[in-house]
Amino acid sequence: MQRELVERAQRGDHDAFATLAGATIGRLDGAARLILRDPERAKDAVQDAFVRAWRDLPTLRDPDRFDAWLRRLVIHACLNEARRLKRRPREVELSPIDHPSTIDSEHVVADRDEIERGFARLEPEQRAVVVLHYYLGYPLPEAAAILGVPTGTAKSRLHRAIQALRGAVEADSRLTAAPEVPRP
Amino acid sequence: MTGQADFDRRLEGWLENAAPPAVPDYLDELLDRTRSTRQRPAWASLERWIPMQLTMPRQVAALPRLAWLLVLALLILALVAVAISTGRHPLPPPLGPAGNGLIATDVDAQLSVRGADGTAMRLLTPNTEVDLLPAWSADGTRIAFYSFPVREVGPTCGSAAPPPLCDSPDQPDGSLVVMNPDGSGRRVLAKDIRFASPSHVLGAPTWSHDGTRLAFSATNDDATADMRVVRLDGTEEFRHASSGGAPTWSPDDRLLAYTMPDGVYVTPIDPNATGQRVSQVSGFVLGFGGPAWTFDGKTLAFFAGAPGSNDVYTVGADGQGERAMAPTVADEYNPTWAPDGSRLAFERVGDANNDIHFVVVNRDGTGARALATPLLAAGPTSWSPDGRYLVGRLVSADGSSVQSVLLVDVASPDRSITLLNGDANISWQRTAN
Repeated sequence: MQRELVERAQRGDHDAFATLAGATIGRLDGAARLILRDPERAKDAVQDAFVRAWRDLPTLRDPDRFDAWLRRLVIHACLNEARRLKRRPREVELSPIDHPSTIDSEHVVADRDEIERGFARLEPEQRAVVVLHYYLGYPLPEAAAILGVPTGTAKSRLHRAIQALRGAVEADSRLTAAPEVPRP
Repeated sequence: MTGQADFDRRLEGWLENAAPPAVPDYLDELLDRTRSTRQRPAWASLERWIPMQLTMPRQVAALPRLAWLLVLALLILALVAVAISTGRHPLPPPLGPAGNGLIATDVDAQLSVRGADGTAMRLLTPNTEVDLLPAWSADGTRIAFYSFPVREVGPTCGSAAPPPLCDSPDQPDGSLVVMNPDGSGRRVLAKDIRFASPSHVLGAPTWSHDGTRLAFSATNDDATADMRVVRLDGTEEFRHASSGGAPTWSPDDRLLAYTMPDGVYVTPIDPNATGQRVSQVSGFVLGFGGPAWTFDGKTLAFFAGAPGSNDVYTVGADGQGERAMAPTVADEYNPTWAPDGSRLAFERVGDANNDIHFVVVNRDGTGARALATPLLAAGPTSWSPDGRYLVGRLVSADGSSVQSVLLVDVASPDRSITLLNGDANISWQRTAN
C-alpha cells in the first residue's frame, strides 16, 4: 500500500504525497521538537525536509526505503538547524503537552522534570541518537546510517547521552529523598 | 538502584509525553508549499544513470599487491622502531611524581595517544569497534580499556526488529583488553562486560601499582554489579558481589577501596573477606564518590553528600580521623591527590553562577586556593604525572556541553592548554624523569 503511494507520488501525484505526509509527519514533528527543543525551529526543519522530499522523490531508487529516507532528511534538517542555533543560542522550553496521552501518569509527570533537565543538557547530536533509538525505534547501526556516522560514533554518543541522563535522574532522585538537615 | 528496564520505560515514556506524535497544525501550510514546488525529474539523479560504485566516495585507491606489501613492511618497521625506542626508556617508580608521557584518549570511541600539546595523535584501535576508558599502567608500558564489537545490520537487526533484540547498548558483549602503547599485543582479560546501560555506567579499570592486575566494576544481567580483579593472564583473582563501585588499589596493592551506597569501604583482595566501612559521615541520605589513596596508604580522600551539597573528606584507612577538607556550602567533589601527596585537588561549583573551578588544598586542609580558570564542566579530575597540570573540561558558551579538554597549569591557571576539542576520557602515561 505504501509502496504504491510512494510510486504514485514519484510520478507527481500530490494527493498520494499528502497521504504519505499525513501518515508520517506526526512522529517526525515530535522527533524534531525533541532534538531542537523549540517548536518553531522544529516546524522549519520539518517543512524544509518535506519540501525537499517532495522535490527529490522521483530520484528515490527504492520506494520501500521511503520511510528511512524521509527520516534521514528530517534528522539532517534538524541538525543543520541546530548548527545555525549554535551560533545564536536560544533555549526554549518544550511546548506544554497539547494532546492527552494514554501513558501519562503521576509517575511520568514526576519523571518529566528529572529527565527534562538531563535531556536539555545534551548536544543536539546526542539528542538525535537518543530520539532515533528510543523514540523512533531504530537499532544503532541503522541510527548511525541515518546520521551518516560510523556505528561506533553513534554508540559513543548514546553512551555519553545515557550517562548524562542517568546522572540527572539519579541526582534528582537523591535530592528528593534527602531530608533537610544542617550541613556538617 | 533504578533498574535498567525501568529506566528504559521511563525514558521512552518521557519522550512520548514530551512530544506526542500528532499531526501538526502546519500540515496544510506545508502541503501548499510542496504543491507549488516542482519535482526534480528522475534523470537528474546521477545514481540513476551510472553504477552506484562510481557515484560513491572512493574509499582507498587500488594499489598493486607489491605496493601493499611495501606499505605493510614500512608499517612493521615503524612499529618495531617505536617498540625499540619505548623499550629503551627506564621505567618510572610505581608511586610518586613521574615524567609526563603520552596521553591516551577515547575520542569517538577510538583509542589514540598524543603529546601533551595535543599534537602527533596516533590511532591505536580500528574504527570497527567501540573502545572506551583507557588506563595506563603505572610503569607506562601498557594500556587497559574496554572494547565493544560493532554489530552489522543482519537478519535479526532489520528495521522490524525492536532495539533490544539488535544492537542495544546493554548487550553483555564487551571485553577488558590490554595492549602495548603502540596498539600491538592485544589481550582480552575479561569478557561479558556490559556497555554503559541506563542502570550502570562503566568506570575506568584501575591498575595495581605493580602492573600485574586490574580492578573494575561491571554490571551483571540482573543489574547488580560485581567488583572484579583479573590478572594479566586473564585469570580472575577476586570477585566481590557487592555492587561496589570505583575500586582503587592501596599503594601496596593489598587492599581495594570502593564506594557503596552507604559509604566508602576497604577490603583485602580475598574472596572470603568482608569489606569494612571506613567513612564515618552519616545522618542523612548521602551519595559517595572517590575514593583516592595517599601514596603512603594511610589516608583516603572521598566526597559525600546529597547532589548539590557534596563535601570532600579525608579519613584514615582504619576509619579514624575523618575530616572535611575546606568545606563550604558549595558542591565539592572528585578529589584527587597530587602525585607527591602534598596537595589535594577537587572541583567546586561556585555559589553565584554555578560555574565550576578547581580548588587545591594542602594535605592538612590548610591553604585552600581556588584556581582562576575559564568556566569548567564537571568531569573526572586527574593530575599530570609531574603534578604541574590538572585535567579539566571547558564548558561551551551556552553551558550545555563540554567544548574541550584542558590542561590547567596549577601554578598559572590562566595558561591552560587545550588538549582536544569535545569531550573524552583521558589517561596520562607516567615516564621516568
